[in-house]
Amino acid sequence: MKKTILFFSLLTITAFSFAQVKQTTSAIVAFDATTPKDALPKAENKTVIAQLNTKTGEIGFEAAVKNFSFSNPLIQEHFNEERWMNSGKFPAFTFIGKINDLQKYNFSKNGVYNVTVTGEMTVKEKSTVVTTPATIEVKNGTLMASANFSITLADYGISVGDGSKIAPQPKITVSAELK
Amino acid sequence: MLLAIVLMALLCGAVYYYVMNLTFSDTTTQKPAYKISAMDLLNAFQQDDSAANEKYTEEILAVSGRVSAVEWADTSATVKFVDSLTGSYLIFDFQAGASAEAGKLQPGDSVLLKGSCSGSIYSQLRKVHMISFKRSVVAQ
Repeated sequence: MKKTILFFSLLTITAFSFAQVKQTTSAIVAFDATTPKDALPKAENKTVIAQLNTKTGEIGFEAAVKNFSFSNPLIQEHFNEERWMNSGKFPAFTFIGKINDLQKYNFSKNGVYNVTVTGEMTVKEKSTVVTTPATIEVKNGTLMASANFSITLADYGISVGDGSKIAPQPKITVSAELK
Repeated sequence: MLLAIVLMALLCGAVYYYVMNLTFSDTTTQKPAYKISAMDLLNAFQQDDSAANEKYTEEILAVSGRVSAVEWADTSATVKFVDSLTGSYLIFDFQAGASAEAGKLQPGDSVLLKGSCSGSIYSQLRKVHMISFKRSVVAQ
């Protein structure tokens, strides 16, 4: 009897703990640095690691720089070169942050939640604080998260010249299905 | 003299147009640089990721193995081979038109995938090696 109670207690604790952290290894992050003069600098990465702790509000994203996929081979090559992302030396982009005012939301209930996330975006080992609105739709334990925001490339030491061919503030789009 | 300048300008314009309109070849038609099993590839990166990155990054690889997981985001599927001992994994993103076929795969299926290897990162979030592929196709 005691063993049965202990077993079910451990099972419950494990289930509770496990359900607390929602994650995926297939989040999508896209960036669009196109300009009226150049429609090529945009890419997507569909193998981004994402995690959300529903109890603490901690959120993390991690993307392999080399897996951002462009349509043009030359742009793909330039993107990874030393003067741009230098992906040989800095192989990952990361975002580590938190959902603000977490106590306002109950992610165990189905619904659409409009939240604000604040965290550190790190590119080429330079970090800046980013705050962005995001939407989290909860459906039977699955969280579908999405966000749109811009970053300033100069904040990460990336120069785009006069900005005619590469937007100095590319748009970033994030979507993730966390389970 | 003027004619030469005009011809030169036209030539430069043509080259620029060609380069700016380049696209990647269909992975289906590309010959892989290496054929390797998923577990052998994972072991190579886990044992010496610098050497493996040097060897495999930006090469087309044909990778065989049993599917560990198929994940979805929006309408795109990715396919994973996972080392059950370490949690390190290969993950394949598919070229346009190939995602639907990839999405039909089930865990346990034996499959041959072909894609452009983007090398590995060590995930600080998951504490595992992640080797990613882009523009992949289901080869068999």
